Amino acid sequence: MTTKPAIQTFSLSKRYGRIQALDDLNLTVHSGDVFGFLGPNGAGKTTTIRLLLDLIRPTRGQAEVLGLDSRRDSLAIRRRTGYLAGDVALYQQMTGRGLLSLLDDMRGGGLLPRGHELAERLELDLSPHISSYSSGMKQKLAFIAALMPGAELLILDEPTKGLDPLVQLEVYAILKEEQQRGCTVFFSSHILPEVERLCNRVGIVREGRLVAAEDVESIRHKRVRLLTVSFSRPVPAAALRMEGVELRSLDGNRAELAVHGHVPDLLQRLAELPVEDFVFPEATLEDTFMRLYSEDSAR
Amino acid sequence: MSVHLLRTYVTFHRFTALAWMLGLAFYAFFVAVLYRSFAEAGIEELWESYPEALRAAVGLDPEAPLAVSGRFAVESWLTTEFLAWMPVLISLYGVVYGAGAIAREAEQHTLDLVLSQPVARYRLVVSKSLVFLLSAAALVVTAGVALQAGVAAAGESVDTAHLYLALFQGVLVGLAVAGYAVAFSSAFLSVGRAAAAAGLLTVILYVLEIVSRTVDGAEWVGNATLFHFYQADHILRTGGLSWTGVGVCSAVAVGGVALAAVLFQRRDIPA
Repeated sequence: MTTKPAIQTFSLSKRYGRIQALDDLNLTVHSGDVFGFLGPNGAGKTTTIRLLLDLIRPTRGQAEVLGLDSRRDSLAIRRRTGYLAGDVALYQQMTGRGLLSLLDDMRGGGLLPRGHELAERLELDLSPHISSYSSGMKQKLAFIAALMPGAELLILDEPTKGLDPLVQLEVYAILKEEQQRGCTVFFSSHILPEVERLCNRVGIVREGRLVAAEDVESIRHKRVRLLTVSFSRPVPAAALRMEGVELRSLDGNRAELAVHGHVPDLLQRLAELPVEDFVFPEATLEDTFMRLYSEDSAR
Repeated sequence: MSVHLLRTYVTFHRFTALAWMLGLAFYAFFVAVLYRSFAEAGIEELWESYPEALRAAVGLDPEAPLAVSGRFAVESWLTTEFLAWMPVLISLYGVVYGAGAIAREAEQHTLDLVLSQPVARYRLVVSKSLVFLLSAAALVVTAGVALQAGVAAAGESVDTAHLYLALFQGVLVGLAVAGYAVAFSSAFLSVGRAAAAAGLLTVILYVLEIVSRTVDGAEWVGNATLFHFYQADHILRTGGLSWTGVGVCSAVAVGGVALAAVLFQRRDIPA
């Protein structure tokens, strides 16, 4: 049996006047994925999210969310989706409790216990007026509002923006629980360690184009590790040149190497050289991300 | 319409609506209670000295006598001092409210919050518009009560049904203005631009109406304005509504809201 992808876009494009905000995006997010959507400001992450929710309309192409057409079936999609906007804007004149109550009413009721439970976990007092909330408190409330319906799909635009590290950890825990109950999570982020921690798949978007969409594990295999080696005496640059190794710098007895390839071959080569010390940290998604980016920019 | 949204927006708007109700009630009572002083001072002579066109411009019925029992008629007094201006005031309220109805939410970025819920866009437009309808109904009631109290305090009386019919037709003008202001609000998603467009259109309509009543040969121009069908003095004295006016104003109000819903459905919501 095949299940429909939670999100699928077909040549999705959006143009604002002369600016191509999104260009020919073909993206698939499978049901049950926690999908991290990465890219710098203005890359097209928020545009994609707003197209999926029918807040804006595509110039070309189309999107399916939960197997439904994002435009024609927008209401049905929103009934089954929780959304957190990138720039949280709430009704200032309401209390936190009042806002959750309104959203509960709009979805047919019965969701408030879940909202209150989440507020307790995130230590958010729902009694004050939203106008008196700090930006972090507003972010928490918007996060609760998105998760309160227990939706099949969560679309979160930078969910941990403005949250302190302890609250971020709680948010990660909640998102893990959501994934365990079968929810698909699609979220945009700048924070690579966050994506690495939470996601099983990641998409990278740049200047409105999808640069890569892969499993996090597969991207890790493409990782670039930075090796810093100290020698007891100067070595010639030629001794450090080999396939899969890029000599970033050679300064006296110290060399910096970007390692893309097979590590044992490099270790064999180093064993022939007067190595005094070396630092070889675990590759982060950030290194890989930056490499993917620089490769794409060079094209 | 969404009942939950309507309830929420009524709550948001309650203090503004209350301020308009109190302000209008105070003005209505003040005007009514001063009637006797001005009537006894022979104000009808002043009005009789004005050109007929000017008297018509403020809504006085050219067929009805200015003085009754030797005194300026209370209906004429209420018309010249309150009822003639009430549609203008409600129109101002309609421009301000209508222009902000959708555009203010767009500017404050709160549309995402509502439109990410399972709510059709037209429901938001209708809910916002109904808030103004409810406010306008409350204004009719409070202004009516205040006028009656003021007239009673002055030792006079007016026909209650006629009074409320006059207020009703006056408020309909404001509803029509609010209707097209909501349409501008949806079209521009900018409070400033929507208010400018709706305000300018209203001023043009009002000036055309004055021209049609004061310039010989320009009477036909009045048919193109919302204010033309409102003859407060005539309604107060006879209870005779202008059904054409009721139809035109209702159509503009409903048409404006419907247009707003269609335009809003097509718009990208700004991030």
